[in-house]
Amino acid sequence: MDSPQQDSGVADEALVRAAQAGDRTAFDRLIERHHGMVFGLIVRVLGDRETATDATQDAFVKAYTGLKHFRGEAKFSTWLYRIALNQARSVIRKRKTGGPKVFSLFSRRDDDDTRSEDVSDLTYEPSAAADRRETARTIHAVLDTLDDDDRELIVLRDVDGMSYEAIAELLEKPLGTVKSTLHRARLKFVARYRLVADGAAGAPELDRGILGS
Amino acid sequence: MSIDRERVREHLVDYVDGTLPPEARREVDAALADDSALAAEVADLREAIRLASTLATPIDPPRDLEARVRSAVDGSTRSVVRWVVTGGAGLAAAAMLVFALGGPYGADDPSRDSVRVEAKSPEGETLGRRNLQHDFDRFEPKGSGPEAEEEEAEAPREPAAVAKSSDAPAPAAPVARPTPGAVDGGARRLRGQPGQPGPARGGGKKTEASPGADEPVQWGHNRVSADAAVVEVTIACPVTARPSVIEALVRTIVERRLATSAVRLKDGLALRVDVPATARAALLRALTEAGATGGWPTPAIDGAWLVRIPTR
Repeated sequence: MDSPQQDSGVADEALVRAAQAGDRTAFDRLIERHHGMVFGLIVRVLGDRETATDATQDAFVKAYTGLKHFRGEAKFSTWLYRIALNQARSVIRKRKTGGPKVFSLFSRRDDDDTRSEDVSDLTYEPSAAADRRETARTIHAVLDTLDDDDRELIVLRDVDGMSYEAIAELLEKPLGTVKSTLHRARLKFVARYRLVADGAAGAPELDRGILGS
Repeated sequence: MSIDRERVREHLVDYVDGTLPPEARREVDAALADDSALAAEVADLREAIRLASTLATPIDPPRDLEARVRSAVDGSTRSVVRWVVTGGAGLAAAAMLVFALGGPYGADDPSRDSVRVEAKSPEGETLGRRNLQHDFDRFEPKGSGPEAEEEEAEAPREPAAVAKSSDAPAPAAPVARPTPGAVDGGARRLRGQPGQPGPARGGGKKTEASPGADEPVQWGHNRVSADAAVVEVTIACPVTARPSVIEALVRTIVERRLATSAVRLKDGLALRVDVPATARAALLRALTEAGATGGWPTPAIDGAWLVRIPTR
C-alpha cells in the first residue's frame, strides 16, 4: 500500500522512527499525510461521515499510543489502515449490539455533495444525476446489510480499487481466501441490490397485505 | 465438452478483472459458452463491480479533521459528539445543523448541558447558533413511571403507542422528553399533518432555517444512553406528504434502537434495521396504522431488514 503522500521526501518509516523516539512533530507529519486516506477508508466502510470523523480521530490516537509496538514488519500505512479498519469494525459492532448509536437519519454520505437536495429534493425533476444519486444511496444501504467481511472486501477492491495483494496484507488473509470471499460477496451484493431496486418482487411474504397497496 | 465447473469458478474473479492469462481465459470462455448458469454468474459479478464502482468518488475529509486528529492525539480535548442532521424543510438548502453536546464527551455531568446547535454552510461557515436547554434530569425510560402515562395521554395518535404493545420489548434506553420551547416546538412541527406539505416544499429559504431566527429548530427525537453521555438526534422531514409515516418509523425505530443506518432515497427512506422478532409485529403495525402505502420491507436479510418507505 503506497503512502498517499511522500511530498517532503521523508519516508514514513523515518517519521515513524522519529515519532517513536518522542518527536511529536514527526507524528503530526504522519497525520497530515494519512488522515485523508484513513478517513476515506472509514467513510466507505461506515457510510457515515460524522461517525467516520470520530473514528478517524480514535484510530490515530490508537496508532499513536501503539506506535511503540510497530516493528516495521509491514508498511506504516498498512499498519495504520488496519487500525482504521478495526476502528470501523468496532463502530459497526456497537451499532449491531445496540450500544449507544450514532444514528443520523439523513446522514451525509460521501456521495452527498449535494446536500441541498436533502432539503429541496422533494420536488424532483427526473434527471440522470438524481438517478445516480439515488443509486448510490441504495448501494450504500445494500452494503450496510452485508457482513463486515463482505462489505469490506467490496469497498476495498471495487470502490477503493485496492490490489488483492494489498487487501490480503491489510486483512491478514491468504490471497485465495480474499478472492473466493470477494466472489461470494459480490454475488450476495448484487442479489440484494436487485431485491431493493426491484421493489417488492423479492418480498412476497411481507409485502402482501401488510402495508397496503 | 466436460466442464470442471468449480475449477472454472475459481478463476472467475480474475476473469472479470481481466487479469486471467490468455490460455486460462480461453478455457473460461469455452466453459461459459456451454454453461448458461455460469455465464449468468459472470454477469452478476460484473454487475456487482459496476455498482460498487459508482461509489468510487473522491472523499474529501472535513477541513478541520487534521486539526481534530492532532488535538485528539494530544489528549487535550476530546471530540464532542456530533451529528450532522439535515432534512428539515426549513433548513437552508446549503446549510446543515450540527448538534453538539456541550462540554467534553462524557466528562461533565450532562444533566446541566445544553445542546448547542450550529448551522453551517457546506463551506464550514457558521450561519448561526442557538443553545437548546435540555432537561436531562427528567429523562426516564418510557413506560416506567407516571410521566410515561402523561406523555401517552398528551400525545396525539401516534404509531409509537401501537409499538408499545405487549409483544414488543421495553425501550432499551431512556428516551429524552422534549423540553418545552424550542425542542417541543420542533417536535410538533415534525409531526406535521399527513397529506400536507410543509412550509418549504420545493426548497426553503435560508432565513427559515437559521437557528438564529425565531423559527423553532426542527428536530424530532433525541435520546440519551444509559449513562447519559451520548445524545442521539434524528430529524424527520416534515415537508413530505406523509410525515406520519416518517414519524412512525423514526419513533419506533429510534425508541427501540433498531436502526443502524438510514439513507434517504429520492422517493423515500432506506433504513437498515435490525429487527428482533419481538419487535417485528409492532413495527409493521406502526407502519400500517400510520397509513404507509406502497412501502415494503424485504424479507429478513441476515437478521436485518431494508425498509423502504415512500415519503410522498
